[in-house]
Amino acid sequence: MPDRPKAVLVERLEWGQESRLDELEQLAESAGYEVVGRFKQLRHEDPKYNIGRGKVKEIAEFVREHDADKVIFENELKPVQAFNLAGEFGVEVIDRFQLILEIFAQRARTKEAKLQVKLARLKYELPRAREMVNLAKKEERPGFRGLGKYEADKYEEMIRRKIAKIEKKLRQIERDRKLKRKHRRRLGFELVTLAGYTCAGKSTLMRRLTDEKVHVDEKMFSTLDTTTRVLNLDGHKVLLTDTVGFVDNLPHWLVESFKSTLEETAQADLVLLVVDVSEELSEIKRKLRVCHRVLDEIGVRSPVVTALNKVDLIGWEEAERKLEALQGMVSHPVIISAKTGEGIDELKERLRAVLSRYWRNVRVRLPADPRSMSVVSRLHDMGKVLDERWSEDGVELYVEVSEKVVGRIKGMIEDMGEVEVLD
Amino acid sequence: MVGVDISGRHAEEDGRYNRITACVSAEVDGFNVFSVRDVNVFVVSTPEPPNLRTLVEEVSKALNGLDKAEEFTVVAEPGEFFGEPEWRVSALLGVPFKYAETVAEREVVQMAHKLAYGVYKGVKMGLKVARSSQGSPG
Repeated sequence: MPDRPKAVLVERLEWGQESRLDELEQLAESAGYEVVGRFKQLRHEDPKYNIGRGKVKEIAEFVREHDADKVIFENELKPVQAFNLAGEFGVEVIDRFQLILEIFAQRARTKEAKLQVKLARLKYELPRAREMVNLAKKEERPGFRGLGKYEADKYEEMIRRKIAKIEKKLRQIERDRKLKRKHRRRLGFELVTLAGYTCAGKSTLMRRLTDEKVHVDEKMFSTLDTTTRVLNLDGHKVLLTDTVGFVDNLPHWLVESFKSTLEETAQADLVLLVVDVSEELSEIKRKLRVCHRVLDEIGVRSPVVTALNKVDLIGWEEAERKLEALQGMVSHPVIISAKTGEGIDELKERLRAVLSRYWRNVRVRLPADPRSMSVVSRLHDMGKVLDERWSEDGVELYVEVSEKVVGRIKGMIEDMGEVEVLD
Repeated sequence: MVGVDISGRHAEEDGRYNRITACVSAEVDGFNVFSVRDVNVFVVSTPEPPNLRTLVEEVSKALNGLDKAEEFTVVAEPGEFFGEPEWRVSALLGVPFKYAETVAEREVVQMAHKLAYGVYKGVKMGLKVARSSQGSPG
């Protein structure tokens, strides 16, 4: 196995601010770095280096001693700060957002995800472009190479043109996706989307619920492309989609770049929010706050079922105690373990109960006619047949179907028989 | 919970400040608003711009008109109280206070905002507020 690049993590904290260095380390490891050092400083922002000059010297020495390849800041860096720090450290300096972009770029598989990552990178660069080009003209520094050949105006204009081009392509993909969604709805499928903080276990839960092989990884953001599978809820087929996880301090431009993926969540009939209940209560609350913020920002107004996952790591008693403390922040909570399967039946029952608001009971009467056979077969595909009685005169069926397909059933039967919506 | 919003923090053309504080008491969980129990508005007009002390007083007066307001946590958008920490606002109000963090809390605060803004517009048009805790004209 080749040596992983070595990274040093740095965080500047304001008074009263909580450290996010542990999460930054997880992110760095997910991106493939070996974290060789962590530095923290409590002070106001220094305009030149972000952190204090004494700390810069200390880190520069550490970087040389440990032969580090990159320095990663938790704080957002201005181009001039990254430029000055790269000069002092002799290695590239990036911030949390650039690190997230690196991870996204590694994970993107589909055309859409790749375009979204490109768009996010360009949106990050745009407000910094002019300053970066001007700095690159001064002197060569790691992370600024190659920019010196541009004129600031032209470089900025080039980024704008690229953004417009990618946005146009993404709009087309979004139109296709909308059509696909409409088609799935017409077929009578309810759409359920998995959402939650990164590493909460969404893909494991998807695999558990659908018995399908979905890529599962301990690393953060292992799911960047959406995956949709059929989930059978006691005879009702619904479509379950796995989406990108959320993370704290996600800038607006990044959320915007992934709009078409997140749109999948906004348009769902039900959101299945996955929460890692094995963590400290304060950490669970922090991550839940992030989920609430993102779900509110993307305009989710569908019902939400909360799966408190990873009970196998802490036991039921502790999970129930935590659930008690989380009451005001969750809806329809169910304690589960996607890994062992505990609580999965209860979760399916809860999903069914919440989704049943979209379902109608329909009585269908068909004559004894060869054409009725094909209608009966299609009704079995469209919903759950609760009762089916055959007689010499024909067949009577009681079917639980999505309200979206009641009209289609009526059209399908036309003059052949009778359709009555019971509730 | 009780969602709170204050409209009319800026000076009018005549230099006065016409503030409307709206409170909405609702039953919620993390993502759903199940019911709205009660609403109330407090209207005040002052020659001075608001400060933390006056805002807290006005919110307290608006809360007084609500049924069992003291039993619930008061929630507002961050920024409503000049970015003061939750514990300080809570101490001044004398009831539990927090900034909105869940979808349902934001929705109730949004209801309060619509109510406050609607009343603000109405008052501006010369309408009299009939059922409210009417403040002094200042």
